[in-house]
Amino acid sequence: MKAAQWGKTLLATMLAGAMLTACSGNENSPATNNGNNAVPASAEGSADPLAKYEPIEGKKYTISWLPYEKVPVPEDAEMVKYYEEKFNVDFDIWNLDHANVVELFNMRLAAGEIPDYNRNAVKTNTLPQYVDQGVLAEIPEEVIKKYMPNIYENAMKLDPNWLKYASVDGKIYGLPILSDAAEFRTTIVWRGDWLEKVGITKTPDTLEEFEEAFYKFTNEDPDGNGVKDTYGLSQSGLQAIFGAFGVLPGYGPHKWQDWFWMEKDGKIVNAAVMPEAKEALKLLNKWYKDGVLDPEFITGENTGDYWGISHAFVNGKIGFTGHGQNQHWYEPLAEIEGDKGGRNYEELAKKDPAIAKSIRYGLPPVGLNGERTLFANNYVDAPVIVFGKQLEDEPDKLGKILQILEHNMGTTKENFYTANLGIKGKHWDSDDETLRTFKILPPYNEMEGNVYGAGIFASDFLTFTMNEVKNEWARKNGFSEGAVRNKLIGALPSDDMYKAELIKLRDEAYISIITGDKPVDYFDEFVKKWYAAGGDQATKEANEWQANLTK
Amino acid sequence: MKSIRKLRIHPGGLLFDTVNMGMMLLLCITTLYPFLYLLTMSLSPSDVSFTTIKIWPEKFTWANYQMVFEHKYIRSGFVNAVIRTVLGTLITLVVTVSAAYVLAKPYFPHRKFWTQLIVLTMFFSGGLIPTYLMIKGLNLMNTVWALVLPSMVSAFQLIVTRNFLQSLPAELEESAKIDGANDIYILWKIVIPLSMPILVTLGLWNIVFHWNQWFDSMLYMTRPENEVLQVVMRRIVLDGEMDMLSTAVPEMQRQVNTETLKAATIMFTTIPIILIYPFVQKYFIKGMLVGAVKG
Repeated sequence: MKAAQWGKTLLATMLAGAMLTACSGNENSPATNNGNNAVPASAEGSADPLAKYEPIEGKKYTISWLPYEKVPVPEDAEMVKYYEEKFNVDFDIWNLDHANVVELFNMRLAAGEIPDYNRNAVKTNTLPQYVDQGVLAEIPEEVIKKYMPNIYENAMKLDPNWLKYASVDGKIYGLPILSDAAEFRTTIVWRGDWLEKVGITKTPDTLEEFEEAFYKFTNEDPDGNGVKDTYGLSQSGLQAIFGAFGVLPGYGPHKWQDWFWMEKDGKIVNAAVMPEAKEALKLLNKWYKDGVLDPEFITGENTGDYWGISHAFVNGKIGFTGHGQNQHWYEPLAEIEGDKGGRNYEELAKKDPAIAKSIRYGLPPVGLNGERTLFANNYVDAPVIVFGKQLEDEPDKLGKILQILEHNMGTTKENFYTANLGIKGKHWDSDDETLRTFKILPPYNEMEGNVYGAGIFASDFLTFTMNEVKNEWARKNGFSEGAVRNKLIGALPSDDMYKAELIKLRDEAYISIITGDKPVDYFDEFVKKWYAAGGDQATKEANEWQANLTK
Repeated sequence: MKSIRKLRIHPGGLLFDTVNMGMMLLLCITTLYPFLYLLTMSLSPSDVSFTTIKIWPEKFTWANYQMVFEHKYIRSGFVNAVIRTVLGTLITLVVTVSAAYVLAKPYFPHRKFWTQLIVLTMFFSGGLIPTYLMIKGLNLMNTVWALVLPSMVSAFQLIVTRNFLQSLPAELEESAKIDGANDIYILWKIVIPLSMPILVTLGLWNIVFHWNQWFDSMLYMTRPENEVLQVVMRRIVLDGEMDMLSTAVPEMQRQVNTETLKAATIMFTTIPIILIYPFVQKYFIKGMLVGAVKG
């Protein structure tokens, strides 16, 4: 009896103790980095409000740096030392495992530690919540313009709204990363040997030609084994068919395509509920009944392993696919030494080099409106570079960091390569002056760059690219034709409440219509359900977001 | 022997046996197949296609294992994992048995209170952030103690051990006392030799726990040379996997680790722990039962 009483008292004490620890940890946070508060007093009153951002000459800054990293960076990594000497700073590199970076970052925040530079833990959709917590520093646009002139100019040219994607209430809190993968749409890939076998010489170009090829792939035994075990297309091919009807509902293998909004009569609408999708579903339902659409389209083409591989295509089950991106499919490029091509090409070549060689890279079908439509990413990628709140008290340090970014990503191509790959002549080399191609020198070609510090002082603003040769190949093979981009970037306030449910509703409705569980007219009912389940609110917010952007 | 012969007479029994064995074989195969698949993969050169199922290597090579053995951080990770496993298990054994021995004595003052206090920790823990703050505050970051001390005593293991020790006859101890032995001597010479089943069970539990544990290493080890094997293995295996939760553009990155190398790394981290099982199996089963019966 007595013991039980004791236990209760003790429990209460322990809980109170635990709470106190947790709270005091939070309270410590703003105080941790205020050590050297060296704002020149005169700057406050002077005419130029940007003067306080000017790095102080000869001052050695200590910068805590949270990079994008695949493997942890050793303390004495060569490139860390190289840049410490070059910029006269001390880097405190934070090794937070990439796969769990958000969790680890939040823990550090709770412990009162905020990194000065953070490239890996914040995305456009999580940015507002960190701004609310008050852990991010605001950066005025003028400061970015002044200390990162080249990067600023180029990024604004690619997307004038660049900085708005990292803004909350009109204030800028970060620099969104830009991606060159966004130049290209997803893929249209054909088995060339199958096309020839069924007597099609011209790569299909219209929806009718696509349909003809799919039916022949199914019925004319293109693999010649005497068994009817081939199909026209599977899950990833569906996007192209929807595209032919001028709509991209996002139903497919890749999560980043899931939530797609298109413009219609000046408003933005979620593509999943656009009436064009109904027409596409009707056709797909017919194909499903005729055995042209792989019945396993529901589970997808990738059966484990690396996500970019389409096993159904590589194993000769389907003759057409839209899986992955162009870098998963490109043919070996002569300009790149020892290149084996994209992962799918490589896997096909392991089975039969002749099949790999026969691959044809097609265009999305010409749609009913005369246009080609297929998913492409937006230039603004999800990650945002953000800066710790403590830098608002140390604007000169923020200026220094921006200068470092400009030097590495905005000045010359060689500086950009050095930040990404290491020192020229030691870690990598190039035969031509313009640095079109490069090769990583042994033994570094079999190592992760992070091990000697390469890549951790680099990020992407598209002032320069490392993929020039591959991008040229993709352009030449039509991967920039028919690219249609999402009208909505970033998160809606109601995403947490409705998004997952709405996507699930879409998947269920689409699958049951295609497989014939529900009639095609069920689509109208689905649209009503979709709006009622939160779609109304999401649509309203999306249009408000757009109105704010153009303001 | 006779009973088996008798069974053969009944066709029903025969049928049952056949079905039973068939099911068991099927179960064995489903358990063994993924293991065999990885083994095959780890012994194949990277130019063999693995898009379809394979159980025998088409071509054979040790190259993947050679790369694993030469990998700087796999080596250091292996050493770190062995150190934490040995150290952690030893500390846990010593502390758990000592505490359980004391709590097993009926004449120990306030025994019930202390036991309940320990049981309490099974339901309440400090949580991730306070634990992190404490480890940091004690300057244990990047030391093996950060991996060993937080999991030093498990309340569950302590209670199981206490129950086992309580089941030993008190007369043994009394007779030793009459012969002039002190408490430490009794523990060492009488109690421990009789407690081998529970010791081995505890040992195995902790060895497996420490060997497989990676999350704490990720939290407390900020330098790559301090990480344990599982963290290194996990990173190699996840290379090229996309963060499926993010809406980010797929990355165009150089992938260094081939699937075959990944398989070899997994085999390298799994085989040592599998090798321990056969040697302690018999104690393990016994220990589990003995500890559990008396409540």
